Amino acid sequence: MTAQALKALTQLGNGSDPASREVLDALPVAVYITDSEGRLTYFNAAAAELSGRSPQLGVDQWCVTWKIFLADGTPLPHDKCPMAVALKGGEIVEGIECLAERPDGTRFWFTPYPAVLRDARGKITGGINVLVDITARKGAQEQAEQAALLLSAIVDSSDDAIISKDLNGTITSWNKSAERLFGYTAEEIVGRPVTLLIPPERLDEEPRIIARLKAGERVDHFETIRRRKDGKLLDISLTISPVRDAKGNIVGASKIARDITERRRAEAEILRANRDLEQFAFSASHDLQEPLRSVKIYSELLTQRYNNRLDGQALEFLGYVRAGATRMEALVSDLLGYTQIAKREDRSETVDANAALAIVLESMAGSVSESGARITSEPLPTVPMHAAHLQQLFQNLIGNAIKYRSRERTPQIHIAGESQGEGWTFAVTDNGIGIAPEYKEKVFGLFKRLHTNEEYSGTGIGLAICHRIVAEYQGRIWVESEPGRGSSFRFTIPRSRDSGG
Amino acid sequence: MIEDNPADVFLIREAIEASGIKVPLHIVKDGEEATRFFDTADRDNAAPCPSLVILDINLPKKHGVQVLQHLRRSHRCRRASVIVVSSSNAAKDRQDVILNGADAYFCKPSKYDDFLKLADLIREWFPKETK
Repeated sequence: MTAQALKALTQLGNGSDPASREVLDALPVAVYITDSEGRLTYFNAAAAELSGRSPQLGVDQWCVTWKIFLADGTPLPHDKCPMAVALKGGEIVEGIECLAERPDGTRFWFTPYPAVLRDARGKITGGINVLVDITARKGAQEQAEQAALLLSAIVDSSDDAIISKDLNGTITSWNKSAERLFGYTAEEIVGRPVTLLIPPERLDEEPRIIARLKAGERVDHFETIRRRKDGKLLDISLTISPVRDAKGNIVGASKIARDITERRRAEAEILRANRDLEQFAFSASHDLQEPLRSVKIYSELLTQRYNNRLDGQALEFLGYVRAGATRMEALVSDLLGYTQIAKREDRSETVDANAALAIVLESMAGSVSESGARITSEPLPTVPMHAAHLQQLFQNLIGNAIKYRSRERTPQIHIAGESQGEGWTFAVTDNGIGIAPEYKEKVFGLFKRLHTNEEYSGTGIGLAICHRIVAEYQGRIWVESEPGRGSSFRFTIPRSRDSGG
Repeated sequence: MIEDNPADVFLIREAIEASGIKVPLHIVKDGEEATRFFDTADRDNAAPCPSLVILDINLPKKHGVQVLQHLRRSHRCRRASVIVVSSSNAAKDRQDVILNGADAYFCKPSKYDDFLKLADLIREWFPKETK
């Protein structure tokens, strides 16, 4: 409502002349006119509609509305309303927001624009008031306020520190978790530079972060170190997003900081425990080989050199000693192999699975022909793996397929591999004795065996090695089997994020 | 011979016999005893000085590599041929002793006949002039 428009309305006089009446009647905005005492002399249709009533001309005073409240909800008596104040010669209050209630109980927001009418000598002859309905705007505003309130409640209840800063790196907001995490209260730190939180040796991170934000980029799960008020360093993960104003200009950033000190500590612990365990297994298996060697050689010498001085049972016992030592030697050697599965160091390495399979089949030619197995394969993909790892997988799985063949039929072993969305899947499928469902998981454990050594020799380490290799690539290995019909060992090698594949 | 395990002392002795080389054999049982043996040879020209050393790598008190380094610094004994015998087949261990001046590396096998192959190495490395 402009002052000009209001002035034009007052020019219309007290609405007694028909031409003015016509204009006022047609106005889509609520207008009413009073005499100098504030008694209503005219109101238009829009005023009746807005106020939800038809006031009695000459009776109703000051206002067209039924009940009025100030924005804070306190009731406003009619004789204190802006129109009354204006008519009583007081200050003309413009633009305030009022709440009114209709007789039917519904409410609306409006802003009154009162003006006084004067005669030629300047005496107040009446007043004209325009009521602008602002309910829609207030509704939107209220919604926005509620949304802001909800958002701030969420921000405050978050376990993560949520901080915002402008593009100069000045902190503009600071939630409760930020207080907890960094030790500064919001009062202490809002308005101060975010570099307060950055240890001196990492100060170069901030310009790089700001540059990325200015380019509209988001910084995701950036793991770094920040400093608390008390100087203690924290391992944290930062996610920083640019914040835009209504026009889309980047004006600052919101930063979510998560304390990962505990996670880091646990990770280091696990890593150390794993290393210790590997070191222990390595030393144990290595040192176990030494005494075994003596047991083997001397039981052999005893058998050779004292053959005719020992009776049958003594020789039989010696046979057990040697068999035991031989078996233990195989166990220790496989265990050593298990602990020595090399970590993949070169992550760009790839291997042609066809070539890996060819090498393995060549080295196994003896046992393949001895078993009479028919081995078939499909064209295989090239995968991001250490060649020795894939060969070891093929060797152990094909070795098992040959070993656990059915005596009733010609062993058939089929090797397949294909690229899928998530990565690569390989399968080594046989028509052997199969595995009962209850053992499907157990077979991949260390030293887990389903057969006596007389039935099928083995150390129970082969599949554990396979499991470990696949785990090195965050892959999965499992078996599908129908007991008595055959097994299909499958493993997946996922596309790793860092290989970009 | 520098070897702490009597079971291996016996086998190495059999390999020496099988090599056909007949010279006095001195046996010491740990790393410290071995370095003392070389020190004595350095001090006393009448003390024995080895032509060929058969050195177990995993020794009590002083590790075989230390013994090897000590030997190579001895002015009287440093020219001795050294065959390292070890139960380890790791490439790193093999490399380690060759880099420290061993002439040959023999991985102790678990079959008697294989153990006797040490005799070939002994014949190969026993210095010609003292044969």
